[in-house]
Parts: sequence; C-alpha cells; structure tokens
Amino acid sequence: MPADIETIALAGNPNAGKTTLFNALTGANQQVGNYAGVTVERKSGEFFTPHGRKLRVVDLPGCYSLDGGSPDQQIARQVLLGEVEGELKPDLVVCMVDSSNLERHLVFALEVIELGMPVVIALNMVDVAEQAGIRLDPAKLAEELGVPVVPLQANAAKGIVELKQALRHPFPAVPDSAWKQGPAEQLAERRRSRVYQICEVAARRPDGHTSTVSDRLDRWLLHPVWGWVAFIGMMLLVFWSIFSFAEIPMGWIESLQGLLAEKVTASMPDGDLRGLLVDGIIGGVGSVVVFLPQILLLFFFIGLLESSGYMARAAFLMDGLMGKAGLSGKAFLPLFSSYACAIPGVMATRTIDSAKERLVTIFVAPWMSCSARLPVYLVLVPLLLGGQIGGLLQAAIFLGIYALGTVTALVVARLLRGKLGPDQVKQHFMLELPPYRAPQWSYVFRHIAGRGWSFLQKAGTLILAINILLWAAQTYPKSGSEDPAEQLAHSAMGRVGAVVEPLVSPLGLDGRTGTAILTSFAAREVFVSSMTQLFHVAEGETDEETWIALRKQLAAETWPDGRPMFTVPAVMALLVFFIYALQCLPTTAVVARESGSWKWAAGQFVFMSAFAWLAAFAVYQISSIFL
Amino acid sequence: MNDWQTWAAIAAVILALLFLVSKATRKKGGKPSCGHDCGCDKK
Repeated sequence: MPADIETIALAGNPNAGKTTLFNALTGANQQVGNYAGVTVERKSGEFFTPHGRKLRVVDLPGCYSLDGGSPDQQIARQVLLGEVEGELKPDLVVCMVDSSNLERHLVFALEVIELGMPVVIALNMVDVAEQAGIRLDPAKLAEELGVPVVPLQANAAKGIVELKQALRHPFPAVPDSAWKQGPAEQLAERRRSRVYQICEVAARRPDGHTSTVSDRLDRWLLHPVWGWVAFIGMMLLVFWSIFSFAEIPMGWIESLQGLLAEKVTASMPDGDLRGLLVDGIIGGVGSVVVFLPQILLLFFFIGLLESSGYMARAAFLMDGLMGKAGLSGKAFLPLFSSYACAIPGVMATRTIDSAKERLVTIFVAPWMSCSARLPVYLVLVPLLLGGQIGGLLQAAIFLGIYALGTVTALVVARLLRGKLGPDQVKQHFMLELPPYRAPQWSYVFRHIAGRGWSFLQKAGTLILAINILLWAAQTYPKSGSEDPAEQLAHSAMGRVGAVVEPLVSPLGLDGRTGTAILTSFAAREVFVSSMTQLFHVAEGETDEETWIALRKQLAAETWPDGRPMFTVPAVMALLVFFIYALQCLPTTAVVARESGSWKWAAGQFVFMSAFAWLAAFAVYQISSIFL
Repeated sequence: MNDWQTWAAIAAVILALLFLVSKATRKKGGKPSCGHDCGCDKK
C-alpha cells in the first residue's frame, strides 16, 4: 500500500450518514474488500482536496462505542489504533455526528478524540436538526471539543467542499482531552456529563418538547397493537407487490427467450448443438433469469425500508418476539435480509455483539425462505390447488410457507441458545431510531443494481454450467432410440435417478425428482429447469407456458402401477424439503467464513439436510393417511 | 445427425465441467486486497 498518500478514517454511529459522505467524497472511485482475517467489509476510496492534495479515505463500520465486542466495533477500534495487519494507521479521523441526535453521537466522538489523533467533526443532518428546532453553534462546539467542526448535509452534498477544506495541511492539533483522566469505569459517566455540558452551550433546544413528524408517526408505528398491524400490513404489501408488479417485466424476458429459441431453431439444422442451445442454455438459464424482476423488487423494498428509517422501527418492534427466541432485536435485520438471500443475511450478523447470539442467528438464517426458493414454490404450489393459479388460497399457502420456515427458525434458535448457555457479559440491545426520511434513491438503486448484477453473473456462470451438464447427462450416452422415455432411462441422468430413488421414495417421489433435488444442491433455482428436462416437457414460447406444461405433466405422471405420482402429500413433502434444506453451497462457504468454523458450517448443512428429509418424510407419511 | 454439432456440444460440456471443477477447487480467502491493483492479494 503506498504510504505517501495520507489516510483519513470515517468513523461514527450507525445512521450518522458515513456511507453517504463516503460516496459524496469518492464518487465512483471506491474499492470494496475485507479486512485481513475477518469478513468485515472494508471500503476505501480516494479524492482530492480543493488544494489538489490526494487523500485516501477508509469508511469504518458504524458503531456506538469503541469498547464493544462485536466484530464491527473491534475492527473500528483496531483500525484507528493502527493494529490491523496491512492497514496504515489513519492520519486523521473524520467523525460523523448526527446533529439531530447530538447527545448520543458526541459520546462516541469524545471516545474518538480520546485516542489522541487529529479529528474533524462532520456535523451532519443540520437540516433535520433545524426542522426539530435545535439551534446549533458549530463554532462554540469546536471550541468546546478542541477540534474543527464542519456543518454539512451529506445527502444533499452540502458542506462537502467546506469539509475538504478543513482537511488541509497541517492537520488539526491533537486536542487536550481533560475529561479522559480518571479510572476507566468512570470514563463513560464522565463522557456523558461532558457531553451534557457541551450541549448546554453549543446546542439550544426549543423550549418545551415539540413533537416532530417522526414522533407522531412513531406513536402509531411503535404502538403495541397498531405497530404490529402496520408491520404485518407492510410485509403483506411487499410480498403482494413483488408478485404482481413483476409480471410485466417477466413477460418481456419470456418473450425474448421465446424469440431467441425460435431464431436458433430456424437457423440451425437438427443436432446436438441445437439441442444444447435451445433446451439446455436458452430454456434452462431462461427459466432462472425470468425471476430477476421479483428478486430486484424484493431488494428494492428492503432498500426502501432501510433508507426510510422504518427498518429500525421493525427491529425495535421485533425485539420482544426475538427475545422469546433467545435473540435480540439486532437479529431481526439479518433474518429479514435472509428472505432475499441468506448470504447478506449471514454477513449482517456482524453487528450482533454477543458471539453466541451471532452463531445462533447464522445457524437459523437459511430457514428464512430466500428468493431462490421462489421459482420452486411458484411451480409446486399450484399443483396443490389442482393447477389453479393466483387467488387468496395461493397467497395463504405462500404466507404459510414463509411462516413455517420463520417459526421453525425461531424455535430452533431458542433451543440452541439454551444449549450454548448465557453470555459471560450481559448484552444490552441498543438501537437508534433515526428520523423518518425520504428514501435515498441513489442508495436504493445502487443496492438493487449490485444484487441484480450478482444474480445475472450467477445465472451466466454457475447456473449456465450446471444446465449444460444436466443437458449432457440426459443426452449421453445415446440409446439410439427415438423414444424420449427410453433415451432418458438409458442416459447418465436416468441411471443416477435409479440410484437416488430409494432415498426419495419414502417422501413419495421418484428417481427423476430425486435427481432434480440433487442438482439443486448447487443452486436451488436449477430445480425447475432440471424438472423440465427430466420430465421431458416441451419448451413453451414463454416460461409461463413451460411451467403450465410442466405442472400438467407432473399432474399426469403415474407410478408403474398407475397411481398418481404428484399427489397432494407428495407435493407437500417436496415443498417442506425445500423450505428446510440448505441447498446453497455459497451460503455454506459464507457461514464457514463468518462463524470462523468449517465444523459449524458442515454441522449446519448436515443438520438442515437431515431435518428437511425427516420433516418431508413425516409430512408425506402423516398426510397420506388423511388425504 | 450433424457431426460437427456433436463435437461442438461435447466441447461445451467439457468447458462447463472444467469451469465447475475450477470453481469448486479455487482457493478462497488468502490475503485480502489492499484495495489497489497492485497484486498484493495474489501473493
């Protein structure tokens, strides 16, 4: 790392606006990686001051204190002290402070100042403070703290030039922090009283408490009854929107796919390559890519809820429920994110202080039904309803599927938490409720663009490769027969199916479905294209037509003795298997990294797979008695 | 039957297999990048 460029660290409480400032300073000139040895994200970038000096800026993880035990807090402290291998000690710290929540944020700022480094305070969200009637005196604040203070509004890029000017040479002198004298246990109390003194002179609050828009909204949204009504209503709205708004763009993707298949069929003579292109690649990959709009919408809503400030309220509301599962409200965000994808969910557990709670949250996160399971549910659920699509009953079944995964996750978390025992140090759940804001669209769209790109990359690499192999497995070796069923039985896939059949027949499924389940252990989405290929369903012009044909084919499938194969108990068993099985190799790899233990990741994989099989077995056997 | 199509399809299958094998055996982790394109993460 070149040492000639000086490094600035951006520190602050969560929601202080650090990342917004980081983006405003660096623009597109950013690098994202990890800190050595841990998976805490490291974001750095470069920018020029108005005097033409190049500076490197590192965005530290947001934390409430430098003394905590969570990986985020530890890494923030170590970076500031220059204790991270391969990381230069920062030459200056820009400490972000939310002006509308000065008392809390200044406590952290004092902690940073006590480290004895040059510090500049970025007094963010002055507009929000102004709206709340708080009259700030930045000059007085600077005098009291002994460091420069720059008022700014990072989300509107106001005050950025002034901040850059404050970073000119020489850097501000290290302030004399007299309050830090005394025994360590008294320091926190001293800091609080020092902050109180500072706020007395540098920030004037309006006489009497005036209720802000956020206060008024919180009266409803944090209400013990109405808060829950709003929360459940909002979640239903999110899921309903995902399914209904996605229909139009899904239609476009399907038309494009149909057009491509048509063009290839028309321009090539019959042969293996044409079969691979049309059935294996366009049909297989297309049946996965078609879910891109739904996945983007899910991430859009998560980004919207985070950016507007509601997600913190949801975490606050969920604290009681999480407490019953032995977790804290901090586990809510990782678990909620896992509905989109378990990987960011597992990574979001870094904010949890308690190591035991973190491990438990990581363990159960994959049981939140992720978006990769959606295609499977969308194909299978109508089979339970005799091919009917849409309607209230289907919505209720979907809700039931999500609820089953969630409730099981919470029950297992409770049992596991009891088994791991209490924490050595009592943890307190502290969460800041930021004021409600208009969503930052740049943040939301950056978020979904990243996720969309990573999904397409996966579709274009891993899923493409798996589909090519699947196609090959059922095409070779060739039987020489024109009969598709005979060819399938003769192919490698047909032979694998015969081997796995004893494992899946207690679940009411045959070897072909068993093979499709096997292929989906690499990526769940592959299941749909595997089933399409294994059951020799003719590709429709659109995916919707293909799914209808697949459902019809599955509904018509029978065992050799003439009994129907995909009965309600068998489909229920298959659904339950997909709700519980950990069929995602990247998640296992991330769990191993985040938990620091391959044993934990392997244990989770084995436990979830066994649990999924047993649950599917129980569902099939018990429901077969009644249905 | 188009022979060239058979060979091309088999080549695609081999490439896909090689890709999956390389993905499964690729070393994860190692020294994280410093954020610059200096190659320090490859040592």
